[in-house]
Amino acid sequence: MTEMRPRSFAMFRLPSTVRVLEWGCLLVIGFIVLYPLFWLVLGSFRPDPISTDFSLDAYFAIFEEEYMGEVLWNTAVMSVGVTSLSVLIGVPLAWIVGRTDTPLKNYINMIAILPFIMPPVVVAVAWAYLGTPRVGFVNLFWKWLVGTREPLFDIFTMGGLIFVMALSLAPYVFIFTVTAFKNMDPTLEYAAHVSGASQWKTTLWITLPMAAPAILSGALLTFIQSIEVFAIPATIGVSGGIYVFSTQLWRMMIGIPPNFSHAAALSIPILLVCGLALWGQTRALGRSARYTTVAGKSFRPRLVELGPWKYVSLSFAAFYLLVSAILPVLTLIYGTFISNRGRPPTFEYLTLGHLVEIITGDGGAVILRSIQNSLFLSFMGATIGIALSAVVAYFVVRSTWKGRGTLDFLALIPVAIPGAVIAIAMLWAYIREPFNLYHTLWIILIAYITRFLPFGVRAVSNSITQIHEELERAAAVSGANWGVVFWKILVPLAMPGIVAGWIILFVSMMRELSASIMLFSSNKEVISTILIQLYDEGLFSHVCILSLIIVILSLASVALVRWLTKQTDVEGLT
Amino acid sequence: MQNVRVEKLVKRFGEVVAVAGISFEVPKGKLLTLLGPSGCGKTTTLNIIAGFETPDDGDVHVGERLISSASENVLVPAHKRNLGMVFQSYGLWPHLRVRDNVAFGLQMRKTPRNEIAGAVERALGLVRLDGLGERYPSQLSGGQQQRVAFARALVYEPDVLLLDEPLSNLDAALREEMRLELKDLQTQSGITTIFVTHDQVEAMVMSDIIVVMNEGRIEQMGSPSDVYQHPANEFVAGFVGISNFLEGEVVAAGSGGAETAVKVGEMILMCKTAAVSEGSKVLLSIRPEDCVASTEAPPEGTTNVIKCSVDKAVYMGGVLELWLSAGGRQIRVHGHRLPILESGASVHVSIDPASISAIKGGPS
Repeated sequence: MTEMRPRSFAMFRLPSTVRVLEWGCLLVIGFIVLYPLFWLVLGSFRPDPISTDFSLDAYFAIFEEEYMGEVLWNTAVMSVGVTSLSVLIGVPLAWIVGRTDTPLKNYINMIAILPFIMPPVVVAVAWAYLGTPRVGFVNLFWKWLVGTREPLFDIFTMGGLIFVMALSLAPYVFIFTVTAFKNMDPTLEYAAHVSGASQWKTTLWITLPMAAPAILSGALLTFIQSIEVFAIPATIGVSGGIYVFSTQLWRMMIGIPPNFSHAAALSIPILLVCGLALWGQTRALGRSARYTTVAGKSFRPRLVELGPWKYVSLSFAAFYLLVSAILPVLTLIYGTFISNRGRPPTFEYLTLGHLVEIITGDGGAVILRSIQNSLFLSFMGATIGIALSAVVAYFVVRSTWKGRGTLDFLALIPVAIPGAVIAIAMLWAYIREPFNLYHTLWIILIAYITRFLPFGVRAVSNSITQIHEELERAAAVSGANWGVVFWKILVPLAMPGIVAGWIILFVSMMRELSASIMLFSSNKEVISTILIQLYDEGLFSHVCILSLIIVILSLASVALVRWLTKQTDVEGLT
Repeated sequence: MQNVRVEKLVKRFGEVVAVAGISFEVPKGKLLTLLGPSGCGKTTTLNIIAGFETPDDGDVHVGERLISSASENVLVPAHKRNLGMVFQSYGLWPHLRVRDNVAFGLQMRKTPRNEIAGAVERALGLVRLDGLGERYPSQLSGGQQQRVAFARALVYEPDVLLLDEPLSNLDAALREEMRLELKDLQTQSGITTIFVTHDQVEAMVMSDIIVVMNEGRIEQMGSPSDVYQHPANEFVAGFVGISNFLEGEVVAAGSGGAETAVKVGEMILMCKTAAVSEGSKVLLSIRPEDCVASTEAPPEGTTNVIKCSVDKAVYMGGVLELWLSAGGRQIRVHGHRLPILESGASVHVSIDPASISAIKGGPS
């Protein structure tokens, strides 16, 4: 429907303040996205941040390192493995929820919000405790059940790494695929049946191929995420001596002195791979929209009656939820209240002592300070981020300006940049005059805002798109100028989306790790970096308490966002 | 109250010419309808008058005030044009109460607070919604929302009222009722109005002037009866109502009130159209309801009698819809008080010469 693009800006053409605002917005977004990338590229050709020499040394150097082949191989095996396993988990789950009469489907559908409730860092530490060969809970249970001394598996291996990461990322495949399944026109399948195809042939030859672009789209996003996620390689991978791209970058940056130019040179090829994957993902998504009928007609997709097989499908879904969410959360609760790790959870061994100790004990001050820092950064970051997002979303959705497409594209770029790479770029860009932000909270703040800008823009633009343009036109005809239309009509109507976007940004920033780990410094820790430190120090109960806090905070905000977005019907009166 | 003048308006979207240099004038206090199929440029024209689209060429005047002109580079923004508008989906602000929806335009005009309350009451009274001011739009029925939209558009006494297919979202029964109510409202308030619709019945019932548009051009402009009875061309005759088209050649040009004789195949039909010269090709347009069908032959000397055979007859309640053929030509006729006819039966059709319009230039 491109020819029907809203043209509300024509009515305000004379006051050129709008044009000035548009240009201003484009310059600000262009700066925060492109300036660090510019320095990252430039930095990869320089020996260190102070020098102005130009050379290819860094590129040659990193590929001469003997570990580099191993790191690249590990990264490739991990990404491909995680993506494949996520598809194998996510597609059947989507089919079960979208197209079968499996009982308790509405609960299985919760998978869609799992990534938001269970951030990778939480899944990672919980599974590290569950899967340790000697004392991991799953292995202990296995030994007791079978009566053997051999553990079931060792989580600190490539297989374990892929397993935990796929648990954490499969919901992305699920979300894209289930949407496609639910929006499919059932007559296409009836046509196949009438033509003589059985249930299974129809699923195989009609349903799945029509969902293929959506599956590909989810798989590519999972691929990008698998390169980007830091928490799981940093805990499970590092414990098993397996280094991948993100942990290798980190190793370069915590060396003394940190090697800025090697990190920059290593970032460039990864950035290209992620950019390519994102390009493919948007194309696949566009194709998916053509295969499924979203607008206009509302129909119920036809459900496959599974008969007794529905208990198999239910078990599959239940098992996934058990290992990806229930077991990890139980572990965290256990660790929070048990007096000593390894004790059975009976009343005599339960204690509230750890909750007090985490604040009063050694390092309590650091933990409190990190919570303070995280709250400050997330509050500021979400507020500035959502204000920027609102303006960008407004121009992208409603403007007729030629620069609109460029703005939209710029605001999408950070999706393709792994958090660790954003951090390296930030360091190169803001370490110098006129900013001098090295070892400050501000550099973390800018990194957060840049990283999560696409999510804020998406939240607000979804809600602006739903506001019928006649509402703005009606106000203009009644005599309202641009500013009045924006503040009195658009902002109140988009408010649920804006608040929901704020909460999403706030929570995402509260638990951000991949960029924070590169940017924090002494006195400038945040919750997630402390969590990793505590994990490294083996402080079981502290890790569980902090992780549980993150889970509870995330759960509460999901509930709040759902309530808010359902609260007001912004679709107007059509 | 003001008149509206639109002169040589042009609007292109890329390669597509949406409005191709049209001109018309709405006299003070009259209702002019832009009628045409979707994509004919009627909505684009309305949006240009409202200020939502920028024209590529042409002028728009409201009274003596130039509000849009490509040549003089004048483009008064929408909020400074002092127009009222009712939208297809009404465009009521869901976050504001009915009262605040109606009051908005007055607030924008910095009307004193104590006057606003009274004006809103009067406007709601005018559309028979007294006492519903505290409600939210979503708590009203479709017809009530429609009336709120009118109250909101009229409350600040704009120079011109613009209506963008305001009835198309209502169900059939309500639409019929609202048509008349709207027309009353417009006549009472005496406001100059431009109405956009694709529904010819709506246009007939409500308009003082109808502008029939097609592919960005004006096909005909005139009173409803003019447009219906004397369509200027094949498009108008076909779009407004149903018509039979017969190609013919003038054999005797009528002048000074005499009838024109047109030869259609073997038949000679008389019609009242003047100003066609002998020998020229014409297209005759005949409305099905203007044909009188009878099983018995009319008296000798009756003009325009055609003997036809029935191809198909469909009983439609009050009317018998007949598909007839005569001399290899198909004619559609609405028969009244006739027995149910079998196909193959023969009927006599007589047509009053005054109800035949001859369209110059022959078939397009």
